[in-house]
Amino acid sequence: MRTKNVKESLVKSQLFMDTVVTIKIVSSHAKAEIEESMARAFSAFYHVESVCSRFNNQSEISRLSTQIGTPVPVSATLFEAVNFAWEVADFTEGAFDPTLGNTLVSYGFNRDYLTGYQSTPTSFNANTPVNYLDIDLNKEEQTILLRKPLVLDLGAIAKGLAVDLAVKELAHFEGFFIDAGGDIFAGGMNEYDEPWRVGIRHPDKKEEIIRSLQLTNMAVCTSGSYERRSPISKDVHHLINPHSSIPQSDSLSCTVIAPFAMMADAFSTAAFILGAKKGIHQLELAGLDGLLITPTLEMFMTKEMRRYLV
Amino acid sequence: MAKMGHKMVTLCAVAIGIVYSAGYIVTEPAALAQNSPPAIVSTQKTPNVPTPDISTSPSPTPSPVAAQGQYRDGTYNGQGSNRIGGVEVALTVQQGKITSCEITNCWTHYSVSAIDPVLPREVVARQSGKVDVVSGATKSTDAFRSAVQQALNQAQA
Repeated sequence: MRTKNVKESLVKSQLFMDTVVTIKIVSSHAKAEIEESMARAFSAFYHVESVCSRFNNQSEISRLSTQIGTPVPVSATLFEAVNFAWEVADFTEGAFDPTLGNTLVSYGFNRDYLTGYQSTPTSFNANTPVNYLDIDLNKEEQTILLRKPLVLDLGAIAKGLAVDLAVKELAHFEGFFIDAGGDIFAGGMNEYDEPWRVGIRHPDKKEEIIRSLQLTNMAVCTSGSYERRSPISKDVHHLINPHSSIPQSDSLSCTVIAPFAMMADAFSTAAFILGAKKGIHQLELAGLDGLLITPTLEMFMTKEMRRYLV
Repeated sequence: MAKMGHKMVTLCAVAIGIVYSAGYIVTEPAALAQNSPPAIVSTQKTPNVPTPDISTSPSPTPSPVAAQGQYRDGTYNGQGSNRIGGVEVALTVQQGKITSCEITNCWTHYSVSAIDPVLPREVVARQSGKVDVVSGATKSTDAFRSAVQQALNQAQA
């Protein structure tokens, strides 16, 4: 195996959105062109983070959160990100909900990863129940109105959006992958001229993979409870059920394959929250494939998922 | 059923198309980061660290200017290590804002996937034999904290 000519590739990593973003480009194009495209792909992450990060008081989303009860004109990036989050919330009947920021802040998920500064948004109010229906979007005016004080969290959506924008910068190369801390898009072929092989991390054993997938021009995202823990309560991870405000414990990890990373990330979060049976059903309703692992390491899959397994 | 799914795919495709065509590249400071090489203000204990290679622009290297933000413009190197290995980062400040933080080097005493970003294929290949990349829950950047802090201290000095 793998005796063919190996193509040239370039790999770089930068920190964005509190994770490591690694981009690999496989191409016979000139090095300068590859580097320029790579820089543009990374700048998509910078742009989306500067708009959508709730950890930065100066971001557009933080400024939006300070204006309650009035329609606020917003950029295309913020409008589309919140609009898609709203649509997924509606589709999943609130299993995914971008107003979960309130709950996340109350569990201490509010530190800027680069500067270490903690910020408590002025709109933080743990006592007022909120959900996505408290967000009004006006397409014609491109405005967003928040009905109650709430903290928008676009974590999953924003990272996916940045990956999908970066894909547009790299699509003309023979092969590439973008790995935003486990949110992956694999485009074209790898340097061996084969479809990319993507391992799914074992939820219990850091160094092992539990399954391998083979695919091309698809996004893969895994939501898992094993990485991010509350600094206030160590039993609390970041995948919290919007309906009960407590962390979901019926799933260990959920991996979703989708044509866009923004979809893969939103739906892996939603399916994780819904648990094995409802979660898999939700993925099939959305026309996506995925695999969910329970605490006893039992695996649940969509009907078509097997075609990706190696 | 499939119809509902198609609706979500369409919504997603449209959203990304709108954001992309709105042209974020030309209007954001990140674009500046590619067009003018940031000044290398200081290098601390990292003689072999490659500087971020954005040196193709013919424009002269600007001297660091005190920006409105709390950080001075420039590129700053920092390194951090713990019992499992170490990392080196190059942090770039443009107009007082942190515009990028590139991982320029990392090493481990044994295979630790949390800090394997620079050579994912080599590390992953050792673990599994045949995957290109691993999908897992989003890791935090804790492993990079001390390196980033060191670079930030220089940006504030």
